[in-house]
Parts: sequence; C-alpha cells; structure tokens
Amino acid sequence: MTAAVGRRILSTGMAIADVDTTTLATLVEPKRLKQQGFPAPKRVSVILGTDHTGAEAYHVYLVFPDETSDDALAWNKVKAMVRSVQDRIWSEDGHQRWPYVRVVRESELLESCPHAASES
Amino acid sequence: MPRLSLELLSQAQVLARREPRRPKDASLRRSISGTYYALFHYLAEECTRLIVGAAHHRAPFRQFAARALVHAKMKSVCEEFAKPMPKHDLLKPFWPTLQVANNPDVRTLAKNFIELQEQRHAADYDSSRRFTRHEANTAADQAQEAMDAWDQLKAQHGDLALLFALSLMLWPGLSGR
Repeated sequence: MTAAVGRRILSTGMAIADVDTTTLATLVEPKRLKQQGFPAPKRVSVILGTDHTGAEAYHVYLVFPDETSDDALAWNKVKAMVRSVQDRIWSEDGHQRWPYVRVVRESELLESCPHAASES
Repeated sequence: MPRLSLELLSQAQVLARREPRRPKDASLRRSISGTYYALFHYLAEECTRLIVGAAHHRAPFRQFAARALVHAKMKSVCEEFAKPMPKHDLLKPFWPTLQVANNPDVRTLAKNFIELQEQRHAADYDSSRRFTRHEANTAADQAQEAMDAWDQLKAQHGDLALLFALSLMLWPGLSGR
C-alpha cells in the first residue's frame, strides 16, 4: 500500500480530480459522527494511497482509545458507522476511489499502519 | 452453504480464537485469508449454480466455469454494483430496471467482498502489518453477512442476482468492451 495526505491534483482518465484528504476527514470527523448517534472515535485519519490491485484508494481509520472493549468494536456495533463514513467519502469522491474504512485502537494503528498514526 | 465454504469459515473462526491470550500472527493471517476464500468459493458455487445449473450431474461444468473467475475483476464488478450508476455502459441499462442502486443486499455483498479481498491480500503478503483478533472476527462477520445478503438477493430479486452472477463470471471478457 502506498499513501499520501493533503491536497493533490490527480488525472483520472478524462477527469481531473482535486483530492483533499483533509476536507474528506472533516466530513467524517468525530463530532459529526457523534451527532449522527454513532460512538465517536478519538480521531479519524483519511489517507490517499493504493490498494492491492494498484488502484488509487482511500484508507480511512476510525481510531478508538486503547481501553475500548472488543465488544464495543464488534462488527454489528460499528457497521452502521463504517458504512456511513464509507458512503460519505465514496460519494464526495465521485465514486472513483474506494474508501477502505477500518476501526482500530490507537496502539493497533501504530502496528498496522504506522504512517496513519501521525496524520489527522 | 456449500461444504467448502462452510469448512473454510468454520476453520477461520477457530483460528481467530485459537490462542485465547495472545493470538499468533500466523493464526490471524490464516483466519482472514480463509475467510476471504470462504466467501470466494461461496460465490463461485452460487453463481455457477445459477448460470450452469444446480443439478448434481452439472458439477463438473460448474467447476469448469468457476475457473473463469478472476479476483481483481470480481473486485471491479463489486465496485460497479456499489455505485448509484455504473461507469460501464453495458451495465447502465440494468440499474433503473432492476433498481440496483436501491438494493441493500447487493451493496452489502459488493462492499464486504471488496474489503475482504483487500484484507486477504494484506494477510497473505504484507509482512509489515500486524493483525488483531478483532480484525479476524470482523472479517468472519462480514463474510457471513455477505453470504446472507446473497441468499436474500437470490430469494427476493432473482434477476438482479443473475446479473450480479453473470457480471462476476464474465467481467474478464466484458470489462474492456
């Protein structure tokens, strides 16, 4: 996986897309998720990179505190939030780059995706 | 559920729970990889049953047809089915007639397949990643949810299930047209 953050102009076939991961992250920031009734993560990271096929993709991390229980992070508890975040970014991007959304604890983020740990 | 898929998913769930205190990285990786293949083989069997026929004597033909599936192309198809309107012209006429964009089951199936395939690739090839039991359990839940969504789709929207199955099978040939 490769990754980059911030603002970039990308040529995607015929279209030119202005990718701003900071703006995307703002659309799904913790306080907005809380307003929608979801368990608010501590922070949200949106990173532009690629997936295993080489296609450009977003890697979105919903970062929860380390003390969050497994039960609270179970798929049936976080599914609605994950899908809401995914749909928002997928739609905002014009359905071009798939948003892979993962729910992680803070310490897990360091191990599973070090470059995401320092981004907002 | 086809026997192989059932066994792969059960095995994945066992691997995810195997070491109660500190799960081994290898156990979690094999769990996640096996979970993806449970869904892959499930779709291969279900799609070929729809297209080739479900009779026992058709099994060799189903197995033959299943070899046409290409993982990356299946992911591309799933992305199309997750869109309100597909990018590919050949699919566009079906969206309004089969109400593809409004069908939650096909969207669940498509999204979960894409995510499990990415996880499987990381589990099998990315040695820098560390996996958690939570991720392995989530993967198994997503695979089961995708299979349930397919069952619902097939029971309630047969034409849409057939379109999805045909697209998965034929996309290697159709996607460039």
